[in-house]
Amino acid sequence: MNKDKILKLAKGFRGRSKNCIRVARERVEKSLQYAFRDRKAKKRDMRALWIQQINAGARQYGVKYSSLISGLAAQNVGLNRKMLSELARTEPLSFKALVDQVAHMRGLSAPHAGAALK
Amino acid sequence: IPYFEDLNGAAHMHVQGRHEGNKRRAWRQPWRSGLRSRFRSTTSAVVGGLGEALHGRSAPRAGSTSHNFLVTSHSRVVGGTSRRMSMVATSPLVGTAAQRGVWAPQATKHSGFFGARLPSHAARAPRASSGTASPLTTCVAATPSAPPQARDRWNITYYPKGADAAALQKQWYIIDAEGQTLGRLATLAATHIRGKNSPAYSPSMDMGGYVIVINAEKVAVTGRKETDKTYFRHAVGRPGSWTVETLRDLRKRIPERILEKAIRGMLPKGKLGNHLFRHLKVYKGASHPHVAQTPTDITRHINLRPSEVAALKE
Repeated sequence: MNKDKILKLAKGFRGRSKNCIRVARERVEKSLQYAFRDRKAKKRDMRALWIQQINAGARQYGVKYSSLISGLAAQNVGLNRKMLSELARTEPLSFKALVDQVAHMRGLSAPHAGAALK
Repeated sequence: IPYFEDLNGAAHMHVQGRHEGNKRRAWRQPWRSGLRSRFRSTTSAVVGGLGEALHGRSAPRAGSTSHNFLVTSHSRVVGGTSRRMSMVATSPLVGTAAQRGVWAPQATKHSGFFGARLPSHAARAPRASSGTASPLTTCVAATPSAPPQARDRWNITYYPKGADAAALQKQWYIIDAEGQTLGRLATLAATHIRGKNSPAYSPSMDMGGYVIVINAEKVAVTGRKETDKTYFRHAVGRPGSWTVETLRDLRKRIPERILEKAIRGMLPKGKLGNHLFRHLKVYKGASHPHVAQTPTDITRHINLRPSEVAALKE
């Protein structure tokens, strides 16, 4: 009974880990431990990815992630990072509007302001 | 609460007793008499409401005994509350087993408590609800399958497909290395190859573009790196065959390798990193064979702040 369950969970494993119960049992136990650990880590990883994507999208328009997030918070924009990354990827003009709003607030929008920073 | 019917058509509540596990064991190992006695009282617990309904049905078969027990105090109903019992009481069984479409064995060799050798999940007829239309007692017919909808873009995590990372859609960039600082150029090239300059970035897929570097032999280094930066080489599989050469000597020998090593060190290591590295094209001299790809010149982006880069684009 339990052997069948374990071998069913061991599908796709490498070598004897998918065929032989003595090897598979160890690998399946480890895989379940990893699954438990990574269900919690997945939430962290996704947030890190969203931040990277927002950073890239914002830098296209001349604003860094830190400036964007602090600027949006100052203007009480409640969009979370997940939605910001979705906008940056699929709705670039809407995202640009948000970035421009922050840039205007910080006085970075004018081209000559960028030259003045040098 | 699931119920099943025995040989005589009487309905029995499958109430969960304390020794629920024994019930299954008794099913599979009926030679173990010790398991039977424990739930003797729970199998025959029938709610009074059901009992009334049984009276109203067609005549039971000859020799049958009506198992119309009221729920007594000694019948253990674990997890059941008075609310649950009242819900079941208001949904009486109507009609015979055959009328209800419930499967019930007509005759078996065995009798007694194991006469109805039914698995617990069998024979669940839809209960006729009499007024109480709570989700627990009402069986709702399955809705017809809805037409296939478009993929919900906002509630499903996006993951780039192979088509998104296709080579035909990749951007081409060109950097002129003449006079540029080695490391600062390499950073820019690695960022564009990896794809971290666009919001479509995904670490597990190749979402970046191609980078061409020309005039590789003219790349500059600061300080004393021209003479002091060394490149280590150990090709042969035995001790003592290593070689160390300075940047100046390597520039004379194979100048492309200086930039290749620098950029490779900034790309991820592994299969994906090796794949990304092949998107770097370093050339000695000013000409390159990728004119047809119309690469974008990003040389001026080296060592600029994002705001300055955006100002350049305008």
